[in-house]
Amino acid sequence: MEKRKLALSDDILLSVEKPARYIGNEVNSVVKDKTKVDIRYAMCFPDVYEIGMSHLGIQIIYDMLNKRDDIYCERVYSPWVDLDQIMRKEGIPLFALESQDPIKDFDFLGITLQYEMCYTNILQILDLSGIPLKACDRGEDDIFVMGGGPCSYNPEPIADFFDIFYIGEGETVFYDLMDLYKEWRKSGKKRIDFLREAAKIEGMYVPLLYEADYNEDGTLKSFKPKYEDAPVRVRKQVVKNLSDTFYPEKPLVPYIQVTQDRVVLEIQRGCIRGCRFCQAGILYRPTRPRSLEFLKKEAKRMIESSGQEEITLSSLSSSDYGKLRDLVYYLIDNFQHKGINISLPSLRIDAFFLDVMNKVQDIRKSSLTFAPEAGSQRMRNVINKGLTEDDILNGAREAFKGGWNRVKLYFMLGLPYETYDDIEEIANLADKVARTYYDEVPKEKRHGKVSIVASSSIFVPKPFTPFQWSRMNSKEEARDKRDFLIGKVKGVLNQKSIKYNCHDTFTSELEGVFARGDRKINDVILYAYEHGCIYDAWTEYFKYDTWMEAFKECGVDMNFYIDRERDLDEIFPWDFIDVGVTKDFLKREYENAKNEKVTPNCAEKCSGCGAGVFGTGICVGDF
Amino acid sequence: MKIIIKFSKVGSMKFIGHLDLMRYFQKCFRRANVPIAMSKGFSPHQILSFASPLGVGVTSEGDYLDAMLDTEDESYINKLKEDLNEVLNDEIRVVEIRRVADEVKSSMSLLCACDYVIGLKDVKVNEENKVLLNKDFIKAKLKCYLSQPEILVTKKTKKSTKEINIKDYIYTITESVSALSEYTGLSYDNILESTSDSKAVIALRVTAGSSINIKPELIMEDFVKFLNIEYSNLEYQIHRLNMYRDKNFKKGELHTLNTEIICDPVAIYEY
Repeated sequence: MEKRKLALSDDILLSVEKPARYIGNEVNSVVKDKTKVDIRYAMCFPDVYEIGMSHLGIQIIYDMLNKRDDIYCERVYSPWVDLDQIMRKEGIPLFALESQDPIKDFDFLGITLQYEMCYTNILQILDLSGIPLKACDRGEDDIFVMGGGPCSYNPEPIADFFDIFYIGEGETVFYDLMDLYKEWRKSGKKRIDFLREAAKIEGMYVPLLYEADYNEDGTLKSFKPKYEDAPVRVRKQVVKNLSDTFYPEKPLVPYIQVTQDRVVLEIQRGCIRGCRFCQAGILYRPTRPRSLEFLKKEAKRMIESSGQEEITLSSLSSSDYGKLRDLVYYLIDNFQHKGINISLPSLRIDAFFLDVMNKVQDIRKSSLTFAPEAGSQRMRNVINKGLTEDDILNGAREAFKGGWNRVKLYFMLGLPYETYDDIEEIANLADKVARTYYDEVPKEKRHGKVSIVASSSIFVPKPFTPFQWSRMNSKEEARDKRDFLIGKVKGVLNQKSIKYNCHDTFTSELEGVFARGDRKINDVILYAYEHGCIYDAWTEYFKYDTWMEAFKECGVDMNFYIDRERDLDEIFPWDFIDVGVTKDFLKREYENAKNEKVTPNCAEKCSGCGAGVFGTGICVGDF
Repeated sequence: MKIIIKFSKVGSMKFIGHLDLMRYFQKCFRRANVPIAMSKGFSPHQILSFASPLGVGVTSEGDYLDAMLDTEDESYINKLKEDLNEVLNDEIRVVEIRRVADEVKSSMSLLCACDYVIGLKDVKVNEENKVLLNKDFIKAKLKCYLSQPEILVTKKTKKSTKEINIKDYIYTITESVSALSEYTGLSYDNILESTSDSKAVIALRVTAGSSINIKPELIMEDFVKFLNIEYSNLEYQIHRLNMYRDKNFKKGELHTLNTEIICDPVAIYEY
């Protein structure tokens, strides 16, 4: 029997952890005759296989591109550190999973940018593939490197490494770009000609065509195109009708267990809530639900074609999806008896929630999740988190009566205008949840102690949020706040029922620099990579000292990016991107935050954020 | 009804571990709409179990999977084979499915022996080890090897390493699959090119099962060292040919060729 040709030898595959990461051939992976296609596209998630395979966005694009006979889209993920070393030592080029062919031979490498801490892994991918790291060093025959996803809304810290950024949702103009490429290749014109033409497609940002000038204080003086025909502003791409678009009919099913090993049903895009710290809540405006019919059809199709035993719903705020009840009961009625688990995201706790949870989960094993984000009501008004203490305590009470005894609470430390009193309220809120349990559930009905896990992360201000002007806490401040909170948790009545976890403070600072960084950061990332940094999102591989050295050697001051409240009329590196939501709206919201003033959500009242320009979703009453 | 599925697993699928293979089959059963019986309880799972885990890197043409179906329709079995092969990939194939009585014990508990063939990988042939492909040489050496009073190998477990005498657990070692075939009286498909007679070094039958399980690589290592050749496990492809249950099975007793009641192997799904 003919063996599938693999890029790696038996020896290598048998000596690395989880060789199945590198062999491809997963269920529903696409096999095409590469001699019969015009474009070979390598889609990359720059992290380990198990993380990358869990991402829905890639699957949507993979399915969409492969629908065309002239395109063969394959996948590539970051080789884990063990294989990374072997590939470097033996000079093995990075390859795509499907054909096992070197990435270098492809026409495009598309990299999804889901979090800032993956930036050195981008360089790992390019380097192992043998692609010049900087776009300006790429020659006529080199591959085109594209970026997309949430971090491309401030592409500047990694702009040097990319030829094109696709700003916005992939379903809209990808085909146009592919058609342009085919035309360009026939024409025999230069690489730069393709890039200049690509920049004319709405949503495409070609960093090489723009130049940035700086003031003496380091802030941006101007940012403009070098050519007249490149757009001054790049508008994000938005899918107008999410019930009539691409969705993976046959989701990829990995051989090994991955992080999200289930069918993912994205029920809507966007969020009506407008929490002021949340970048996704702005980027994905306007809120657009998918129709119930579409979701029923896709759920059935995906469960049947994947054989997965679990389906989960995905969105930024599932409780706000209008047809949630109908959808959830449809899933339970049609799939539960076949042994399919229905896994629900965190939902508002009400009668519907309790009924559903009783049907789909062993409540003694599951926990309730609340994300108050801040401990005090004052602080929750600052961040516009429309969740009150009553909501939490009433929800917890109902759930405790129903048999739950485990609660997870998520908070942030270092939010703008935060005081130590606000932080203390985190401990008090956790305690109140515990008291609710002991007050409401009589001793004979308790299944042991209540278990409360409170977690806090360090707030990182992000572009396109009302807090994009805010100063970020230094790691020392964050540590002080954390230590203070640890002390306060120990001081409350039910401290034995409360466990407190805090996110690492080192990576948060770096994330803060990358999030609001400018083009000067490229050198820092390159330096860090060249000195051994990869997998920075993995605590065990994060090299803090090397990063500090990188900033020093490149003459870049971290504090410029984090330890500074920005002027209201400062030009930001990401200002050239038009996300629909206006800077004026964000300024108003920043002001409202300062005044602890709550802004109604999109379903209650339109606040004129600017996303209406896309003429779809909740802005035109479709909700 | 209870069924036993005989399947093969070759090519890149040798890198898929045992638990992942289990999950792969579960998904295949769902994709093929197989009326597989589910366990009771809050999180029901499909009732299926493997006869014996196959190590990462090892291929097989004779592995077995027990499953319980929610149907008594025996004619369904042929369709099931087709349906499964429709959803399985090219490197994992259902060879045969047989119905067994519901009360038959699990293949895992009945397993008594396995046949393997071990070949020298093409890319690994060198001046020193090419002698391993000389059939007459191997045949002669095996005779010496097997006539040792004891065959001591070091067995590593999670807790300890200990030296054991495995001589009683070796039914036979031959120089090729055809020679093994003569001994066992069975014919093998031997579907892999890398273990064809010209590339095979040894083919053997050893004791397997939950109490004593002899890994073929242990014997290979010991034999290669016996020949004064340097051993590296990466040089050899191990391929499982078939698995057997003991006709004389009795709970708590281990039968070999040298026990009072000897082990009488038949293919694990033969009843």
